[in-house]
Amino acid sequence: MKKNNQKGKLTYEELSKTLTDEEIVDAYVLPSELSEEEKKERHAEFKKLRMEQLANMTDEEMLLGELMRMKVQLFDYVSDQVYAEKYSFGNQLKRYLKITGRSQSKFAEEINIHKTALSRIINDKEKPNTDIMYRLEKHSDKMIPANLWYKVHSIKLESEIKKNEIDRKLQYDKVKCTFRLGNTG
Amino acid sequence: MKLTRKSDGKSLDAKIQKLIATEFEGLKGSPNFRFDWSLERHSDVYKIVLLSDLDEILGLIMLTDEPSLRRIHIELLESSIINQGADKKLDNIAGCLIAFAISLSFKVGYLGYVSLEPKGHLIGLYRDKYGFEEVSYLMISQVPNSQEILNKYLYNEEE
Repeated sequence: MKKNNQKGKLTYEELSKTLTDEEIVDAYVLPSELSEEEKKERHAEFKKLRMEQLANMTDEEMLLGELMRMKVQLFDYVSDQVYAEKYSFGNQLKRYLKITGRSQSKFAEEINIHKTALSRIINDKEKPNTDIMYRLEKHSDKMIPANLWYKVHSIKLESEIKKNEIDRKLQYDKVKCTFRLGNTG
Repeated sequence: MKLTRKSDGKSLDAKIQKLIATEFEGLKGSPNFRFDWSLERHSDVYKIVLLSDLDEILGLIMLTDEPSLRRIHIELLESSIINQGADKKLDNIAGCLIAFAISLSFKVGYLGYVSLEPKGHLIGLYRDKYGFEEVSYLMISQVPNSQEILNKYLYNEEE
């Protein structure tokens, strides 16, 4: 295949000699072949439509967009595996309430949890259990799955377990025998 | 995210990273791509690779961020040549790259709005495959379609 050195020189026409349309769409987004003049004119038209669309965006679209933004950021966070207080379960639950416009008491009622318990979880005074994670999944219409909430919380747990020297020593002291290779006693 | 190996249907873990300067040099004259991606070193270009083989670039995407229009525009996208056509080795490369563009759009607050400029013959196919819709001379994805693409290609949560 001849190498093309400028985008736009490799055209749909050339690709279609060896690939079907479906195969082209499956593998490419081709560069623009418009002249600068054409691009300027068409861009002005697109811009007008886009600005109108932005002005007319519905609350539902905004809400969906913000929830998806939260989801994308949570996925990135669990992928990085580094604890950040901003991304604690409580802080993210607080964020979810803000996005969905819920007060704590209303939300507690909606997911059938005592508002005191909810407050403790939001303020990271109480650890969430999987029950609440399932309820959050249902409340978000499965947009933010339970396992994603679980992973968010697990990062904090892992961070805590690594740093908690007090509990570590406490539990170490309860172990009567340490396994060592060669120790048959 | 996962790519599918065509020979046995196995899912393989992949990731997308931004191309660094030295990698552009490596793409000069590459037999794996029809475009000379080395010429795009001053643009935002991302690659997709398998976690099991970080050295092989499976696909590339060039993006433009346009804050005034609150959009991410896909300038160019190419799967590597061995992953094109009827005999391609891996599936979903372009889908994952498009989903990545959408995830960036959500991250920067554009609510998943992504555009591309289609060739006329291909409009119906971008619509059928990715749910893009026509706006002027472009095709765009926005909520809720952008959510579906993310769920399908990035989060593997297809219904």
